Amino acid sequence: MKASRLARRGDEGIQLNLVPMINMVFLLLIYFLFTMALETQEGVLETQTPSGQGEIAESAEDPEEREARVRIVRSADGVGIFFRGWPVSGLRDLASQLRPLPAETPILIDAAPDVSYQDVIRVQNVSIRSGHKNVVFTIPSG
Amino acid sequence: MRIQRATKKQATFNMTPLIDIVFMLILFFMLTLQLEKEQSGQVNLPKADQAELVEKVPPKSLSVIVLPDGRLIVNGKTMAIGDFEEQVYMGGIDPEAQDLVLRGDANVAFERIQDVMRAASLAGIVKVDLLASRETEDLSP
Repeated sequence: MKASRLARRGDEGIQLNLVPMINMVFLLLIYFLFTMALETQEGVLETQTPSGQGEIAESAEDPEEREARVRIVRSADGVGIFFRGWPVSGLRDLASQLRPLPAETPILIDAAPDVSYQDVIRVQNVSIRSGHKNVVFTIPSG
Repeated sequence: MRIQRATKKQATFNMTPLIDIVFMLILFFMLTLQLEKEQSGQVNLPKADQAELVEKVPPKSLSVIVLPDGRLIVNGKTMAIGDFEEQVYMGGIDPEAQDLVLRGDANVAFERIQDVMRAASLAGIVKVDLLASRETEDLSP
């Protein structure tokens, strides 16, 4: 009789409550969503100070190749961009004009002092995307 | 007469609410740390998807952060551009610094960046690394 009573106790089985487990999964999900959203990747755009630029300007023989100058100024509706003295309609237009140039051509960005840093970086980004990594800036002598 | 044996009851401890609270605290501290980062001199970097990944900061580099109001943080010290130029003129910049690592706010006037690059040039630094956020931007003007 004792053995049958013991055997009946074993029939209850193990119960697993899933709710806390699902709770934990959602919490982990929220945690990783937050960490991924907050992280931004940083990168580097290389250039040179004026003391290093003189060498680059003199290395090209052809005056046309020597100066691929991009002028950036502030205008009433944002920024105005000029390539070799001629206005361009936008960054896509600038990219199409830069693309045919040889890759080693230095791109000289001549930005007005009141232009925002983001606008200048945008032009440098377009230059690199067009295959020109050699980008330098004009710096007034102050 | 039957003597009933006292049944042994084991005390159970539910860990789940405890772990819940721990994660809530982690999320709370993560959020507050992010807000503190914004107030302590971190800047909104300009966007450039062509920026190359930073593997490691060059060991002998001059680190300059250009804040939105035009002030600078040079190797951890906050100063105005005039003080930085004076430091360069007086030879206060590490003579072994070979690179300028420049972290500038996207909305700052380019004039401030030019001032920093000019001063770095006077200090004998040739190579400049402009830090940017590797995000894609629309090409429309």
